[in-house]
Amino acid sequence: MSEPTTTATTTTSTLPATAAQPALPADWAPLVERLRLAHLAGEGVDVDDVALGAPRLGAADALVIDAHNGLVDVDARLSLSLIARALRARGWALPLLRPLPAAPLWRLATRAPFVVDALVQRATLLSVDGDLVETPAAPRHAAGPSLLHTATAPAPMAVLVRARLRVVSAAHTTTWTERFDDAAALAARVRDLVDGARAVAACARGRTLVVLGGASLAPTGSAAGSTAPAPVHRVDDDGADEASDLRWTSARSLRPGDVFGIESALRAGRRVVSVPYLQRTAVLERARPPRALLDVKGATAALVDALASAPANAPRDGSHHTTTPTQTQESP
Amino acid sequence: MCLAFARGIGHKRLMLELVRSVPSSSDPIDCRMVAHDLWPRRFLERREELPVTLPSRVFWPRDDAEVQAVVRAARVERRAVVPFGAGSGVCGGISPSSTAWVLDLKRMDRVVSLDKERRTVTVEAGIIGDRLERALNARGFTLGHFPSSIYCSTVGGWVATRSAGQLSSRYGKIEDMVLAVHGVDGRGERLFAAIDDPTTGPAAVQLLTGSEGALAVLTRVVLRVQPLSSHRFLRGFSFRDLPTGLQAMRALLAAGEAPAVLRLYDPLDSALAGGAAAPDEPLRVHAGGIARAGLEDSGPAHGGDGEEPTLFDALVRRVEELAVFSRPRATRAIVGELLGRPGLANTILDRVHGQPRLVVGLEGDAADLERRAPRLRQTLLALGAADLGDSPGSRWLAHRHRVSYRMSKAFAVGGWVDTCEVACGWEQVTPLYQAVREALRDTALVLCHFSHAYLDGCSLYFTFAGGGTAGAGPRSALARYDTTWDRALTTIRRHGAVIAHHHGVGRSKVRGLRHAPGTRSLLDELKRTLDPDTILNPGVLGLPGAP
Ligand SMILES: Cc1cc2nc3c(=O)[nH]c(=O)nc-3n(C[C@H](O)[C@H](O)[C@H](O)COP(=O)(O)OP(=O)(O)OC[C@H]3O[C@@H](n4cnc5c(N)ncnc54)[C@H](O)[C@@H]3O)c2cc1C
Repeated sequence: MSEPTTTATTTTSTLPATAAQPALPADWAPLVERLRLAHLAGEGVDVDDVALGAPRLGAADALVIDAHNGLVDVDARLSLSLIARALRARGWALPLLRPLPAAPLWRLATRAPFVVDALVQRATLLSVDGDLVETPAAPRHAAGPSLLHTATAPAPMAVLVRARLRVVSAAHTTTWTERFDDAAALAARVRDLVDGARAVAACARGRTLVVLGGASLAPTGSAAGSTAPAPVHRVDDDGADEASDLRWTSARSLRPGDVFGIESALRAGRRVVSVPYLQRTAVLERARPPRALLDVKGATAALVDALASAPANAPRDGSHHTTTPTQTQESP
Repeated sequence: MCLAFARGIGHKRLMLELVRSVPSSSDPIDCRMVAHDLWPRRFLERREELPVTLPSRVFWPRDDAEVQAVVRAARVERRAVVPFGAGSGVCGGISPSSTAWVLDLKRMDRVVSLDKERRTVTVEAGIIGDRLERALNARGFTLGHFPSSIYCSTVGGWVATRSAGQLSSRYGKIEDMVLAVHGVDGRGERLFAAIDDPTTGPAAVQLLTGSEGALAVLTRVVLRVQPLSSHRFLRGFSFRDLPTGLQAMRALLAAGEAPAVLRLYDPLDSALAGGAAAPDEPLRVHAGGIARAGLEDSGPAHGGDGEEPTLFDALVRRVEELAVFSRPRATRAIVGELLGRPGLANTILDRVHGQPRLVVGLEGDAADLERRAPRLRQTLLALGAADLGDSPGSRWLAHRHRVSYRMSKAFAVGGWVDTCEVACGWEQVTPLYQAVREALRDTALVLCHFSHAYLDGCSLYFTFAGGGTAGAGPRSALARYDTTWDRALTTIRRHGAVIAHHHGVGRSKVRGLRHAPGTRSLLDELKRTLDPDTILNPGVLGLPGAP
């Protein structure tokens, strides 16, 4: 995984703990104005209806990589696929396997909370009332409610303007593929990888699992449930599955050990992605759940309404399953 | 208008009627038990005989409906409601006013269900940590969350403060384990959020986590669990200096090791602990994972030999060695005197040349550990470590929960002890460590260890010990305690570190928070919406409400 490197192409500067008094980047001013007018009219703004113009990321030096901590600061108008490409050119990778979506990161965050959960260490947010918010620079949310997650609420209270993403050094990782007899065995393997908390990323589809992790993790024999000895083949440097045309636009977070949820997603032809070392798992989807930007008051009220209406649907034991089996439950 | 008024009265009566069936007490002894948490400043105040504020009543609800009844009645009466887990918090998170009601959740302590396949457990928020862990162990599982306070803290308290356990580099912090929460907000409404519920998503779970009782009373939590590991490997290493030790920790994580235990002690802490190198000791893999082995034989001690030696004990031992006499009273008096003269004590301690000590532990099956252990040793030796053999690891394992639950002995000799846990990126760790020690040179003795490490940063866990200024009057210990914290918080902020990693903010660190207007308005709106009358634990986290 990430390690300082002395190669000439890598910027090894350390990123500032927090930006000093951030000013709203000019490119975002139109959104603020749009939100202001919409609020005056008592309306929301559809996130799909916001075009912000993407910055150019041609030159490799546009990305400042903090090799010491394995972090990179990016403009949230960039897409994950563009960021991954630029990182790859510098010997680094996101802890996510391809295919990566072409949607800008800020928009993805509102539809794929998993991305923020797993990838974003800290961010500059633009509250939907037009204020800039700096979340603390720390390896964990540490104190109080996580402000970062105001950008992933179903009605976001804020959007990402800049994000500090976790990255890993390609020099310290390898990618391998495992194949399984059935979806159930593959789902169990995903769960075990996440439990082990050692691999960087995993992507499961059909009966195939691609894993990115430290070289010492690559199985030497036959992986549990796999039909072929692993590693079956080495895929390219960041585990790319270029043949795939699947471009996801949203992700539904799963309980990391939810083997039934994973299995049913696999059976439905979906991809299941995990970031085992951060213990996060999600199903990738092409649906575009509607997301409207309201004002902070409206967005908070929407979240609290959702919180208050959810208990009616929640089973008494507090679990909330998307798939059926309950026979495995046991009351101690 | 009249009808609405009558309805209002009816509603009020109904609320007050409902709350009567909830077990409660206004007996001063019962109220005294929940009047504050273990914030060391409160002990100093007691020693200085400052008055203790007792809440007006303590409730022991048995289910969500009773929590709801208490919150609704409190809202009608415009009283503050302070959720209380086990009161082991150390930041003044519990500090009810004289009109407040305290909601002690310890009667809500059931393990509701265990889903072995999905590896989740649903528990009521008031369950004490070790009861949950033992229930899981009996079924072959572990939560993997082992705060030193596991015997005296609750699941609700963990989630409310973003707690971290001793095996965090393998199992994560509590916020990594929370999958769903049930609660009651300040309007008396029931709430539910789950990471896999698209209507709330991980956002709502992470906004309620860490909310320290100010946004909702957590009543039930769904956590992920894991099967118990069958084997363990523990080993100690030393380094020539702190940066080399920190670099080694980071390198282990970067290599994808995810050790279950990864604890580096600073030179002073290591020197006070003692211990010699044993490089030839063979590498041994033991049966039983760290999670299970820990609870069976490392229970809380009530004084005597079993108790983990504190900074105070270590100082007593050193003074005894130096003085070549053993008169316990005199030695204690000297240590008390030293705590009152931290400048002098620090100058003496500067001459103690210790080497930072690292305890590393792995969990897995035997074959896996037989493979990983030699590789781990090799990696560390290549990074400049000296092998100390098994004993630092087995010693740590045996003592890891033997913290004293009595007031620290330092208080008895006029001193005080407190802890401060912060987090920052790797490059800031050594400068911050040095800066805090320097800033506190003339107010406190400072020890530090590093026990929660991530690829993108690390937590620093400081222990401060000090006393009053000699001849400066009875309140001088309190004044010096406050000065120490002011200086520490200023230094921590100047280095861009976060002021809390796992103890929360409570009231003690509010002065260290500097919310920009944008941050304030997001937090305030959450508070306003979930708790419009600011009745839930007012004063914590710098959220609106009378302190
Ligand atoms: C000897 C000792 C060792 C410690 N070691 C560790 C350690 O290793 N790791 C660690 O993380 N901490 C440690 N702590 C600190 C403390 O144990 C933690 O902060 C713990 O999470 C508090 O749990 P509690 O149940 O005692 O909460 P309390 O002290 O009762 O409450 C803490 C805060 O949470 C709120 N709260 C409690 N329950 C609920 C609920 N159900 N709903 C909403 N809000 C609630 C309270 O209002 C308060 O603000 C230690 C403390 C001591 C005394």
